Amino acid sequence: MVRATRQRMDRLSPKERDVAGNPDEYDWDNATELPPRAPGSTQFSLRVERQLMTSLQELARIRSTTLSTVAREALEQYVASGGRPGVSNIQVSFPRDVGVLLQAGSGRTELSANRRNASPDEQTPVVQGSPGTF
Amino acid sequence: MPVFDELEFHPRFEEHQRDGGRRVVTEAEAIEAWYGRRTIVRNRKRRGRYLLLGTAWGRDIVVVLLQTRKPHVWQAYTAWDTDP
Repeated sequence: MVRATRQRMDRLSPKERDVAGNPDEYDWDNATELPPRAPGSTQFSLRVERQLMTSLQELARIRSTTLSTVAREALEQYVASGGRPGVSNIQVSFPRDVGVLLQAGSGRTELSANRRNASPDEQTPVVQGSPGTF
Repeated sequence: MPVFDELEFHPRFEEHQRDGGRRVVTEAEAIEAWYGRRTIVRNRKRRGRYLLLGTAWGRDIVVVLLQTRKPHVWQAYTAWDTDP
């Protein structure tokens, strides 16, 4: 197989050759054979949209870690949450006299103060029937 | 001998092969070779570059491995099969 490997390296594109190098650069005489890996973890291939891949790579770059680590953590969190996909499913509960949730624009939702000891500027009238749980 | 623990793939792993006009070794095939009995060949002149010679679904393949920033993580850059 070593001979075949050397021969087939002739078929690499110039760009690949720039990265992989020439056959003569490899230490064929000291090739090391490794046994099959023990079971305990597994690896699979997943095709995703290029934009998602770019986002994962950017996260990995920001965190100075690997793409594998970021992808693994994302999957672990998804499984740990029982398959709930995002923060939009988080339930927020609070007493009615604390305040109400207001749409603040730009997709944000804010809790407006309605404490009994809040200043008049802070207070927001509670709409009858306004849910306390979202 | 470095630790060959984790394998990542270059985003253009399979496209590199198509660019070279070769029969494509898929990522899944490279993974099978990564986990099976394999031979590692070191590049003497270029640090952190190795060839992985293994078998996937009955055909012999070679994968070019590049060392990443983490010593135990390797990136598969391109591959080819050695069938005649």
